[in-house]
Amino acid sequence: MSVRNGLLALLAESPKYGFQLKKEFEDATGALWPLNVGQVYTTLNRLVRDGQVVTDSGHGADPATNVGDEGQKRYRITEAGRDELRDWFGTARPRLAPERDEVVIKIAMSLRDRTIDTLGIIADQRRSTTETLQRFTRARSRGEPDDLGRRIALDAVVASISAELHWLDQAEELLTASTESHHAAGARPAQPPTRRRNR
Amino acid sequence: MNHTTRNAVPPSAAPPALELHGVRRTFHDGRGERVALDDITLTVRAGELVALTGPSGSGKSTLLHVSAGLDQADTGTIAVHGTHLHALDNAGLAQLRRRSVGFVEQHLNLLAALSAAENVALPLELDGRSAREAKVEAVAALELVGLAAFADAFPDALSGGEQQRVAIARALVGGRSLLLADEPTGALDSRTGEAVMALLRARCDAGAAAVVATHNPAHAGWADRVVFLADGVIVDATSPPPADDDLSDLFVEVER
Repeated sequence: MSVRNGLLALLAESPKYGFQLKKEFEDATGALWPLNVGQVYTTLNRLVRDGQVVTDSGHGADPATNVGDEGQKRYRITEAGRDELRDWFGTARPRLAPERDEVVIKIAMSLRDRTIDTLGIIADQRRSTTETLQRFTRARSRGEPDDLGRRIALDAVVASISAELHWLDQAEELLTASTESHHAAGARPAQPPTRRRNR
Repeated sequence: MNHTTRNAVPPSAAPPALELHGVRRTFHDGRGERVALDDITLTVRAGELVALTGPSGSGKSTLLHVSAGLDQADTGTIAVHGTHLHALDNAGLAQLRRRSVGFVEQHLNLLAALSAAENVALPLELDGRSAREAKVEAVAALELVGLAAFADAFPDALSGGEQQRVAIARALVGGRSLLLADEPTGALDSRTGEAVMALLRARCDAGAAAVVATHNPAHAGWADRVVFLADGVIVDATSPPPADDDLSDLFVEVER
């Protein structure tokens, strides 16, 4: 839905060409989610089918934007399209459960096999995720300071990566505490003591 | 590191800003010996921002304190710009701290009776500089942190973030080139904390070196390298981001 509504929002400003929509979509969100051209046209075709967008023949370039050659299709939003866009802006999106998270599944599965070093998996993941965080933080600091859309999009990425790191710390604490209480109860530790791994 | 190329000197020619080798520090309390740092080896070069992270009690503060000569290691060597701390007497150590090492505590310790500029000028005056000269340098340091207009303000008239920036200016004043900061964003809201990290990043990009202890992953993300401590040991460290990073390997095509 994000591409569909994003394109409607761009078309609400003025009629536009497909490749122009691709570029404007990416620019508006800090180039964080690259669109391929095929995806743009597939979505536009659905919007046309649903009566939210119409094409005009686009003879010659729009003097305001100076893009497009003769014969290229230009897209224009309809009243039905504006209604859908108003609904989108006017309705909170329910926060759904996250998509299947491979790291969560990997850690949960590793707990079932005592020969697997879960704390080591957590440590490796923390390093890798922190490296990604460093890269996004650097990209964010190098953008145009006035590009608010880009800044907000990259803040969202940084916040969600930070959340994974908080969660990895929690998982490590939980596992360490559980291992220690097993140990205190006289059971064999569920995990080998691997926290002191010098690299 | 690409940061060091901004200095005329190639990285191999200048000694590292900070070099710890095999550092161990133990504390004794009523119940016996506690190992705060064990066999710590770490090199920080000019231009580098290093974040120290790890649980409370993992040794982050102790590592910073021994690096500044505020605390002594039991064994191992610590060198600041090639000068071994153990070769210095107390006076020499104090001089090295005043001239080369800026330390930012979590609690800022600004003197309430002194203006922002007087707080920042203090280490220079203690180093024997004239009051006038110290004031000029203090205002320059406040300018680096965007607070030149507040030079004559007293700490209680400044916001938490502004006070933190004064503390950073005091750590930077006189061209000190190694910044050690212990949870410098701990008392700040997230936006001000980010601004403090951006400032430290900018000082490193301009040729300083910094080691920052933080428990906030988003703040550690500003670093060139993140070093993970647990129970006084360096258990892991990240690699610096690649040069000319376009992030393209981090995006997956999602069919929607």
